[in-house]
Amino acid sequence: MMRHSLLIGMFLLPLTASAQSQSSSEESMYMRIRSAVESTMKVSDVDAAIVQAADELAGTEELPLDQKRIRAAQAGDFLTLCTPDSGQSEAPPSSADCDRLLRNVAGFVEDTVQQRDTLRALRAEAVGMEDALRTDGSNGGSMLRTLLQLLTLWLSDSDRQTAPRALPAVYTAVVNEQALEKSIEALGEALDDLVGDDDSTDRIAGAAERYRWGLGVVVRREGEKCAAKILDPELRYLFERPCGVEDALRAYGKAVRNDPRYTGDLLLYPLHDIPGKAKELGVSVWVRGDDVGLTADAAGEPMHIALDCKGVDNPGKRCKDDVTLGGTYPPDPLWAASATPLCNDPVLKAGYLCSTALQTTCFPAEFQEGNPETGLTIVPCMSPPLKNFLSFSNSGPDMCEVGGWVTAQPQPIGRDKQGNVLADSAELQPELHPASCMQCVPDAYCASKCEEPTVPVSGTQRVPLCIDEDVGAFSRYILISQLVAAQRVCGSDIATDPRTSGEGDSCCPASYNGQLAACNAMAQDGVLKDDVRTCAAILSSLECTGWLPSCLDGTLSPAQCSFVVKQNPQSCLQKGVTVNAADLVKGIRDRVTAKDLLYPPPTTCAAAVAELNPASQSPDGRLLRMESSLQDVCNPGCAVAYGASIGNGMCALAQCTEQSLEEHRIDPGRSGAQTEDSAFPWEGMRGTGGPVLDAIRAGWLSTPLPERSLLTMLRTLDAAVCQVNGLPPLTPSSRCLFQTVRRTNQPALPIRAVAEGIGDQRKELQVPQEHAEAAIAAVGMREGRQLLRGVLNQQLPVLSALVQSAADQLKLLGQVRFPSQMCPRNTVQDPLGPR
Amino acid sequence: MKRSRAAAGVTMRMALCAFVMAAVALPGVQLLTGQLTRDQDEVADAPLPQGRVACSKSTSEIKALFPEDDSFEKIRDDYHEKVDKIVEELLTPGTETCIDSGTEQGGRKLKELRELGEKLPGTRAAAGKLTASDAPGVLLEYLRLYECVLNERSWYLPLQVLDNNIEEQKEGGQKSSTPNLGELGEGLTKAVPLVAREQVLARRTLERMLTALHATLMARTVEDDAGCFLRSSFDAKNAFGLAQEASMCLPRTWDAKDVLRDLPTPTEE
Repeated sequence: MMRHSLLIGMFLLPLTASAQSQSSSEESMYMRIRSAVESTMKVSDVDAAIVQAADELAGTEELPLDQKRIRAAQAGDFLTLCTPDSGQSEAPPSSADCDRLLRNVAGFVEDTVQQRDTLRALRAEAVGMEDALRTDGSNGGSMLRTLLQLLTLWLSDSDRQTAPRALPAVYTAVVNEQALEKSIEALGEALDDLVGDDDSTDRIAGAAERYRWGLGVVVRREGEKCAAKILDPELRYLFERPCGVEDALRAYGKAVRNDPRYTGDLLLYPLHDIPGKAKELGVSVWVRGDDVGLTADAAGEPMHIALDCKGVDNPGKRCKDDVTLGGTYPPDPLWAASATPLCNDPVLKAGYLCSTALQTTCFPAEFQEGNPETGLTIVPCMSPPLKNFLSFSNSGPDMCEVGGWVTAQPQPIGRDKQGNVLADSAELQPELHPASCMQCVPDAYCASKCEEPTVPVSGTQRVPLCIDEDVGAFSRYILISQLVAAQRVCGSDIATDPRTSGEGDSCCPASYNGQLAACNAMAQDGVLKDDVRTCAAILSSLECTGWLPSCLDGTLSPAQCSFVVKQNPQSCLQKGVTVNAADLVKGIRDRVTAKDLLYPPPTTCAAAVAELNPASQSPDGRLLRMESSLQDVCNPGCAVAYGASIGNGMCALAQCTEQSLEEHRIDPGRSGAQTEDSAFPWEGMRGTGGPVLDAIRAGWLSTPLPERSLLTMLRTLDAAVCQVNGLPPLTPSSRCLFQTVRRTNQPALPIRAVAEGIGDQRKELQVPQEHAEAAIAAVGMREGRQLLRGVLNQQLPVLSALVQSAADQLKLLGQVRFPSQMCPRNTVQDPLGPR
Repeated sequence: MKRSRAAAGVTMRMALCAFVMAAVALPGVQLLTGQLTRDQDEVADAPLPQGRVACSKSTSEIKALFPEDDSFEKIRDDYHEKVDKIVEELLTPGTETCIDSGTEQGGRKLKELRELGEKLPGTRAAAGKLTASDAPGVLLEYLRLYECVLNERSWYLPLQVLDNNIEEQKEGGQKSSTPNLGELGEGLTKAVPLVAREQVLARRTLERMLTALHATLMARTVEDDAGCFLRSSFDAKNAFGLAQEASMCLPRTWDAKDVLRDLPTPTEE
């Protein structure tokens, strides 16, 4: 069996992680922070950019403002400040002029130094908070990466079809250091070229900020052309696009990604130091499968507001003597949500800043046992709130019922009668046949009225999937739900689609999972803002009442759709469950054609069907994977390829076991080929005992992992640490651990009490430390427990029940007593009579 | 601190102390640090409850960390070097030890942090179990003791400078122990701002460092746990892979028994 493993690099995590230590510059992070703090304390040179700006503003030919005079102004040293350089014949300025000069220079320098220090502090706080949550292999912790890898390892691709906004599967790769030598040096040189004549590194810091989210993001937003005009004097370093740096970044990205072995949704390469000035500033380069960019660690120098506005186009009143004047506030950038750098990050785009936070819905049942005295009411939650949840086949439902866990086939799975590849079209194609090893082939088609049932056509194993032409941009999602329906009936001889049988009892369980996959796809694309399960419950209700196309194409108003969901006897919702169907229908109808969608759906049915063809211009990976999952998994001679995750392994194992139980004869009998289709004629004579095919009642395996909300988790932790110390939440929470000023801020008398109090603080520290330790460990444990509860507690028992059943059957098979005679074929003893 | 007991020096020292404290040291230090200086003898003599450490450089615990004979520059450099080492250790990814009950007893080996924890009275008992998330508390306690020393140094700075001055004169072969006022003033002008600046710098630097590291340190414990879970997940993945491989044999197993024989009839049974 061929297995396609994508997790090549996951064993090589330490190599990726080790890049963290490599990225620190010659001077350690702590020492760089110390130097930065020192720079505001008048003990080191003032930043060159400040000196230059001060000189432009207040310096004269006789009294040029250099480091020495700036220091003199700060120290109130009139003599040094106002004595002309030797060789100057001019008289020194008057005492009043010198005083004015001193106050102006000292004030300007002080303000600017403080502003820069504030920026450094703010940056340290912001980057420090974000570092652990970043996906570009930044210098901070790799918690997000670890958790993403856990999800990647556990989730099956079927889970991703139904898990609300499932995060991308993350893979890490290694690089050949020697092959990168030239390109990394070129990048270092390109950045060194940005160093100003006065050794100012502001432009490097600006580049680090600019390409922080990736070169691709910049190019997508502003076009390919580098060296753009600079319009904003203050933020000029942010908007500069040095061609040398962009070319070097592209070349480096290409050199790193030059290894076809690596592939995946989100591919991370190790962070790399950049030689030269960038290294001193803590600036490194990151590469992802889809982009390349720069990053700086939390101690890195921030991009300061540019004081020099030389060369800025049309600066207007914001510039004087080539010095940027303060007090102006540029307008907020007006970017669409999909164009913001944040929302281009493959992981962060799922966050609340780029899409509405998912509701954690509890469907309350009507049952309420309230206590009138306390006002407390217990409301049970139902999930999902359907009248009937799941249907069962002989050996239980397919464990990965929605499909999608098999790697997409590189070409269409349809064939004509001669065995030539035949892609699906928007018409009905009776000549369509499944390729070998496929159980069936879907035949998606567009029609004004759907009449063909979604069941295999006898003799060809072609499953017609009808899409109502009028639903327009919803075609993609109808197709997804139809593919789930095909997965259910594929390979069977079922003649009736339970969804159209007119009975809610059989329709709802058959409809729900398909609508769940469709709603999840809507959420991924940005169409759906509501809860995915609520959406699935409403859409399956509409489907089973027959009003789904009318509600999607606008024939019915949202209010009418809501009425149908609540009042129609065929509705799938349990009595007493309350959902806001009108708003949901209105929401998705409004948004399906919105312009800011991350993955806008095609507007016609034909275009949606074309997405099912791998050779088309823009195939949809989700559709392809679902279609590829229609294959025989366990048949001799058939290869199945899937991503090596625990979830996919479970799917394959379950599918194989089920197929064995469903298709193979548990009771020994005669070979059909030799008995001319009269195999197993002795069922009635089996008697009692012996191996029998018991219905194996197993639950639904595809239980998505709980979503991770890391930022919330960190904030909770902050709050918890502060709470145990009796303080309001502070960030960082270490401030809650030890408060020096608590004691020293108190009145100084009696001094002895203060001294004892400070001594006490150490003891006070012990208790919070223990609490904090417990709180932090508890959070880690809670995270682990959620994973365990989400996966192990729900999925493993189901799987183990199934595997146990198979094992029991095998064991019983060994106990079969064989008859002493060959089959008495065509004899009078045949209980079915002579043939 | 070595003290000259020369009678001529005593009066001079007291006068200088009063002058310098009033003019330079106290207002500057108090304003900059927000801390109060304390009378050394009062604190040292106070009946402190068990386990407390007086904020005094003469306390044995503080002496062990910052030896009295060390120069200000050495103490300063040692302090920053130690903090630097701990921070680097925290930033360097290590291999966590995973055991049955998670990482409680295992965890990342933080040698520098635990070494410092051993020396700090407040964390000595739990030094062996210190984790990355404890680092802010340990570092802040270390800073507090460092500030105690700085405060006392600033308080007694004139005496120190005076002693040094007298020592230097003695070493220079002068018989008189009268201090050179010019050199004394120059020494104080250099030393006072140096200590005062350090009193501000140390705290501001550490606080900014902790701010920058905040999320990383908090995440480290979770990350360690998740790392252990990840490693066991790899085992689970391999186990499922093997199980799946085995399951491929199931159809063959069924067919192996699918013989051209009838089941035993009821009469045969």
